[in-house]
Amino acid sequence: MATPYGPTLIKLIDHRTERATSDLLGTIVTSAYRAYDHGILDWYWAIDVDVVPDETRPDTTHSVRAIPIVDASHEVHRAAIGSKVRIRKGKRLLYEAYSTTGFEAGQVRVTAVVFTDVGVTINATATYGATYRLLTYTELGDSANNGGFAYGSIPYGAYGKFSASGDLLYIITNKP
Amino acid sequence: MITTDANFKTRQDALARFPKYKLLSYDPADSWESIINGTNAVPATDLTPYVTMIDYGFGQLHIVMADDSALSFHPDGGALRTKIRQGRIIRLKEGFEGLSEESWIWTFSGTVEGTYGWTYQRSQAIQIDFSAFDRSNNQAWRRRPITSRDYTVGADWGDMFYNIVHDIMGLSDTENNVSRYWSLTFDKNSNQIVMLPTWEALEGLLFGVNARPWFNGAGKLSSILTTQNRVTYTLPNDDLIQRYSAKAGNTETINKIILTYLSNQLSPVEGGHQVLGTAIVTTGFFIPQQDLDVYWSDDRRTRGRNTTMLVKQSVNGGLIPVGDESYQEIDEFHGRVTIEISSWVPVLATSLMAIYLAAAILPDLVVTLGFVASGGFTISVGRIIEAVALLTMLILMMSLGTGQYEVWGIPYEMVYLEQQHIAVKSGLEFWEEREREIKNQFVSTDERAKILALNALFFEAMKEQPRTITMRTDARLEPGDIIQTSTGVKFYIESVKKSLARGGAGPNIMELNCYRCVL
Repeated sequence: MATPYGPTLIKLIDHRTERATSDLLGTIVTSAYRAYDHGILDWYWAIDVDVVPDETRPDTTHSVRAIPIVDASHEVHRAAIGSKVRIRKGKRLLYEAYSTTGFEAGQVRVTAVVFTDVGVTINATATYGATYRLLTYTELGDSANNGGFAYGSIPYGAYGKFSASGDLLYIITNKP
Repeated sequence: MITTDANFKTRQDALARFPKYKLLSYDPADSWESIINGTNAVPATDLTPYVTMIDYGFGQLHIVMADDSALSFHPDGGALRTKIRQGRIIRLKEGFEGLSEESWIWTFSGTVEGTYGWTYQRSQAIQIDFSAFDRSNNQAWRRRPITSRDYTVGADWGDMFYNIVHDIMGLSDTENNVSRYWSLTFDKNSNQIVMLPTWEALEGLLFGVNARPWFNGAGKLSSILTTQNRVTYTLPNDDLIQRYSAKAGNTETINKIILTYLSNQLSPVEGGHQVLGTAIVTTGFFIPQQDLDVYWSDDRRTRGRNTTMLVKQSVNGGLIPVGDESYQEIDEFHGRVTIEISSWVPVLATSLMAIYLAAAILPDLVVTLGFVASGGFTISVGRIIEAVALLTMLILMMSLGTGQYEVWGIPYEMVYLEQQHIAVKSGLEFWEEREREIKNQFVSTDERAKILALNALFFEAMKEQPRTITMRTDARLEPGDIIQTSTGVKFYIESVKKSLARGGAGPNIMELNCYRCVL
């Protein structure tokens, strides 16, 4: 409802709140699964998301569990592990949680600058950020190392998180 | 820096000079364009004789005046009370005594915000105070979201800027100092500002050329450069500086800039392994081969890779196998399921029909009873052959049935991905980082993003070194100018402060809030 006297204080506060809703960048680490919420007494679709607090340090792992999917286009439902998602603190949910909204790029480029009294030195740009992909048969193991069996204990279909330089950081198995 | 004519410059550089100013109030019924052009219909009211003090700050004037004995500004009936009411356009002009007013320069243009204060107290001078803010303070521009026209590859960013300024903000060319040609072109198919407040849209566009929007002293929209590798004005003499101080303060400035931009390269985004399409077919006897094209979506635009066929129900699901089913991925949008019926099936069916027909004319054998042919059975030789042929055909018919197929694969979409370039002060632990995120979807290459992110970082780093310089007034200096002293140290002017005294006498000194440049 429009007021003839311009924006009210409550509207201004609302505006501020909207601005304050924070977005986080994360990576899907499970396929969509059903989770039960005791607050709303219902099942909902959820995923786990690997939230990296600092893009320049992808080695740290912080998975946020059971994030409700709020995505009418079902893109997130169908998204593969390793897809980047933006997650947002929800306002309409009954509890505070993050919901998935869309796709993001995986890697970032970082330019560090050294400030001195006489000027600045710009360092070379470095690429950070992880990539996610299926582990290959070779990576999963060979019969020589697995007692005659073709593969080790990690099932085919497991994903690996790799650093920008291609080193394996850790393994994600698709189990919620 | 405001450009002036030679006469002004001579006065400015002269040792003996008397700065003067004029404060004028205009009727808002006249358009800004006519006021800036000096073609306003209602003549301006000169407020200068009443002024006791003006505080000149960044984008705002605080004016204190004294009323005359006629109580001209009495809020309930003064003759001049409408001249400083809300919405009046206030302009400040600075120059020198003895200098023709044509050479003076406009250093502030804005509107009165709010009602003015007027206090009468017996045996004291009547004091009036009010404030005027520059044109960027327009809340409609600050808050109301707008949508620009759509520009495609090759269009100049300046064109979109001009569209917003001209068509949405309604500024005429007189009111706009920003060039339309930036030599910076869009490189994505569709570029549009969608539901963003006007001022943020202008900031977003100017960010691409390391600048920010500003309404200058004359009331014209212009841009302030945020770069530091330039000098606007070299001080002719360091003695002009009377006071120089580095403020004590926190150094909690931003030291990390995250610039999120939208790449102009399409990248595939994969979905999970899933059913991309289905095909159902009923085969017939005499169709030797059937091709079924399976698209991953009805609009035939979804892409997929690593596709395989899963046979849910085979055409060979009947009693005897009758054909082959195969699958081939044609392109990223579709694949083809091919069903080939073995050639013996139509051959056999044809020959069986021939047999069925031929058998129909076979005469029956007759078995008679007794000597007189009075009755008996016939043995239906032909019927038995007919029945065998018919049964075989029926089995064939039953075997040829419905095939049902699913094509599985990994769907992917080609999208413009958001990329990030981060400019960060070297050697920080992550808890020491104070970051600012900037989003600009018109920026599309890493090279450009790097330049912009670095410039934003340099700008923030500069704020760690705030300096206050008090120097001899130079009305030409504006925010965004970079002054240089004889030692080569550069200062970025963030805002100018000065106090203008009674009766039109301009200030002899002014205070510059600066940052020492890092470059």
